Amino acid sequence: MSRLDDLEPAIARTLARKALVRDLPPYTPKAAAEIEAALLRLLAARGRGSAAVRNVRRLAGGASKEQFVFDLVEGGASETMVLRMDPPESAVETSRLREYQVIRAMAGVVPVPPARFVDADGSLLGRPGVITGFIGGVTKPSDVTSARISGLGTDFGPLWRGRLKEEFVTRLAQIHGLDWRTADLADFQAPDADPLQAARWQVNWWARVWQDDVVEPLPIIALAERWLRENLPQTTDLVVVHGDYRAGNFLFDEQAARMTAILDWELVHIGDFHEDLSWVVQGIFGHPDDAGVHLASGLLPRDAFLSDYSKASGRSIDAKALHFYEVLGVWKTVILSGATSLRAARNAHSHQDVLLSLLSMAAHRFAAELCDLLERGA
Amino acid sequence: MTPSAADRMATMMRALAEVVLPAIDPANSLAVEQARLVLGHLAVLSGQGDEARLDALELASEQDLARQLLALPAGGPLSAAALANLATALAQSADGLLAASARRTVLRRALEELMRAASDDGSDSLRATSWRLGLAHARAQADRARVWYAAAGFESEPQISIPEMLNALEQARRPEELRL
Repeated sequence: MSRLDDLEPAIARTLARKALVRDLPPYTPKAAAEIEAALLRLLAARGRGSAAVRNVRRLAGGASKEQFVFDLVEGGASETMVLRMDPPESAVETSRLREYQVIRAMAGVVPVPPARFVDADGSLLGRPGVITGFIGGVTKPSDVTSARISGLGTDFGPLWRGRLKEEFVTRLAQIHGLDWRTADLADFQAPDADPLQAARWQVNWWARVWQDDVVEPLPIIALAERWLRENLPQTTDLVVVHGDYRAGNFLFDEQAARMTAILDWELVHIGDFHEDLSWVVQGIFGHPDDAGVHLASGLLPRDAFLSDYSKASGRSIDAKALHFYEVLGVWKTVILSGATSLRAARNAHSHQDVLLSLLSMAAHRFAAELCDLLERGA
Repeated sequence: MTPSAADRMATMMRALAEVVLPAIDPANSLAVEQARLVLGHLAVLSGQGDEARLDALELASEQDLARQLLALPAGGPLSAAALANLATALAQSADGLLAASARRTVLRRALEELMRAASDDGSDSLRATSWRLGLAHARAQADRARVWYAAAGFESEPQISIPEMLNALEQARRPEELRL
């Protein structure tokens, strides 16, 4: 047994699935008519054969999944829905079934879109996909113009920072407050074999991804893995970790100044709450304010974020665990951008190959941040 | 007369920006987004110049690191095997018949394997020195790459231009070290 074999079984299955698509021919983005036919197949299989699908159109943005909006018309009623579907390869390989389960579990806990359908293995849609209700809202104020990729350095401006920062922190505490032991999360396993397993599963997950996807070897990846294995923190307070909680992954209503939906649950797992905190404070997701103070996720200074979270959740933050997960998070972004994204683009396996190859250039910025963190923590 | 890559990319960018992009149906959001991304890629490429110059510098830097690590005591069998593999990769990296990118890949893979093996059973000296040198090398390599890819927009304004960086690095090395 390799040391990389100790990881969450559902994650191991998801990663194994990627090996099966490696040799597929180049992927052609799906046309609206193909999506409509696929949706009708799914609806028929779910006993909704009388429903019609109208106005299929592609949603722009996103480096990972293909996203479409459509209207489902049935018995005189119409509901606008969103389909998120896997291309053969993308910036990250994840499970639509887990996404569906966690969105259902979070309903009533935090704002999420209503989960409607899932095709876990893609037997009906052609590729694995999840369908939710459409929720209105914006990821950044509509008067902010930016050519940046959504969520990377979004400048909300002082007014919107003031309106959103408290809810941003509170919602994260609410996610971590879900009682996952009683929730219907059948495809999730908890890392509870020993107190180090939560951290070890994460290291093994992303070490395995690097091993599978590496295009150009990088010694810093092995150095960081070495540090991570030697500094695993103990975790006994297991929570649902969103995995990608940050600016760009929530919608808000500009009239009500409230969040309407928390999105992009694809990296969700059961683990250590420090992991989400460290992700929020990653450099790439924030920017300095006018006084030069770095704003975590573009919303509030790091120390304020951590202390507000602590108050909202009742949890104490362990500086060593936080540092471990900061290293893990930046290491992971080097792997996702420098290996998985580049591999998918090289294989011509995504609808966003050109974006993925652009993202791969960011790996060097993350590698420099990784050096900073390792020098600080060695 | 051979048109330069810079001239050819400039014409491509102009055609994309002034003819192709305005002709795309705005409702086709994927096509609009991807045309803009292609334009961005071309802008990055057009500012970079000769990739072979950077490859030569990177290879020389990786060879330096390998030589320093090979001088250290191995420790256990995993580290001994990784050092032997690194010695072979270093020899291959001097083989002018192989493509520069292939030589760099072989050498970097061997360096990565050594960093892992040193953690498992390396001598104290190998563990400590591979950590210190590996981190310093990674920092310098990342800084060079950040200048090289700065136009992709993930960086604030770099302190040095690409030609300035390449010139400074080349002046610090002997010309025979930089032959690919």
